[in-house]
Amino acid sequence: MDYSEETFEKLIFENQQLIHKICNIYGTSLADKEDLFQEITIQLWKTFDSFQHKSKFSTWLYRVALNTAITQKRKENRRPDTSSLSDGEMRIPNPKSTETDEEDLAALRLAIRQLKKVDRAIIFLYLEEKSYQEIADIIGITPKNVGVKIVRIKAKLLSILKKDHGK
Amino acid sequence: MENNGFERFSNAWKQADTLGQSQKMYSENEIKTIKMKKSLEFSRSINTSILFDGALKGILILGMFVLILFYRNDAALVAVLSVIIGVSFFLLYKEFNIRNELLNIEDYAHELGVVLKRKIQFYKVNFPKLKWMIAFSNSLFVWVGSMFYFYSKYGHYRIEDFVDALVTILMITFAFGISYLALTFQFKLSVLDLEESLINLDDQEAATININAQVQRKKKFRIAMIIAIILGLALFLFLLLSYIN
Repeated sequence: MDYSEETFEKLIFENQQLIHKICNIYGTSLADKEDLFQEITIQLWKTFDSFQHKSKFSTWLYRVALNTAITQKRKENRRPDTSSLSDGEMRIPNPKSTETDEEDLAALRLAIRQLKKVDRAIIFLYLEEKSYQEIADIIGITPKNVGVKIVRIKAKLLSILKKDHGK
Repeated sequence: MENNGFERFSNAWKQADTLGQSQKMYSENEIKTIKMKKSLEFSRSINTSILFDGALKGILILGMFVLILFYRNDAALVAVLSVIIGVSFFLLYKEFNIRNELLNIEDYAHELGVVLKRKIQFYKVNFPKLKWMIAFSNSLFVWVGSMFYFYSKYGHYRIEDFVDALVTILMITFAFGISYLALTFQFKLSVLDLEESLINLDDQEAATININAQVQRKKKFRIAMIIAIILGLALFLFLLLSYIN
């Protein structure tokens, strides 16, 4: 892979949807999400040279983006976000998804925001259909630990969803 | 059952087709502009504190040079001012070294545990020093300010009795204390946030760090107690001998 600036910009452009998803589960307001997107892009650029095929591109991208989101001190909103759509979130109607799917998705996002920062990262990667090994490589824990945490996180999410939405 | 319950939400996630959560997709040019900006984390918190303190120390150093001219006939004061100018330069140098060190710890390509531990380590090693350095500037500001005041009103540094000295010392201590406490609070919040994530990541590692931190705290407390006892005994002996004589 060519490690030029143009390559970097193209890669981020093509993968920015992923970064936006991460900003959505860690950022609270629109301004906060934009700040986080900026910070993640800067950190990806800073580590781009050192990336050099030491890991898969996606592993590197997820790792830097999630580490940046987790370790940055943000003004955490301790109260659960009860709005159905967060500030700045747009949704394009998807012909494949039903109204129930959209409600479930909104409820799930709200529930994820109530988790601790590391748990959000793990469940996000699980929902993105990453294997336990991939999640372990990105977060830096063992696959066994990933399995244990996912069971715990799913139980917690279901409990939050039942309490908040009766689902 | 629970698994089936969650399956439904997983499916909803897969079906989602959400536009960028910042309400826009950035073009390659916009991404180019973003990457050239400065890190926001670096521009917050510690960096801001150090830059402001650096500016304040710079102004105070200039002020002290002026005071040396005003009080040039008072050799003791000139000597004290010279020493404090030297100390201020030294502290400035140390603060900017800490600022440079901050740049190096922001490498998020490592494993999360490594990044968290590096940041926690950075805060725990450097913040106690920074608190003293920054609080020193605040107390120095009060003292230098009082010297300018006395010179403008009386033409000399006016400490005539015990009460004058006590008030000056109390004001300097108060300025130091307020700043020190505020920074301690700020530091604690930053570290707690990082430690919580580390505990969340791997309970075993966090427990080890906490145990080590507790052992270090107990050691420091023991040393402080020994020093306090020795000083207390020395003071008692001094007073006793003064009374006898």
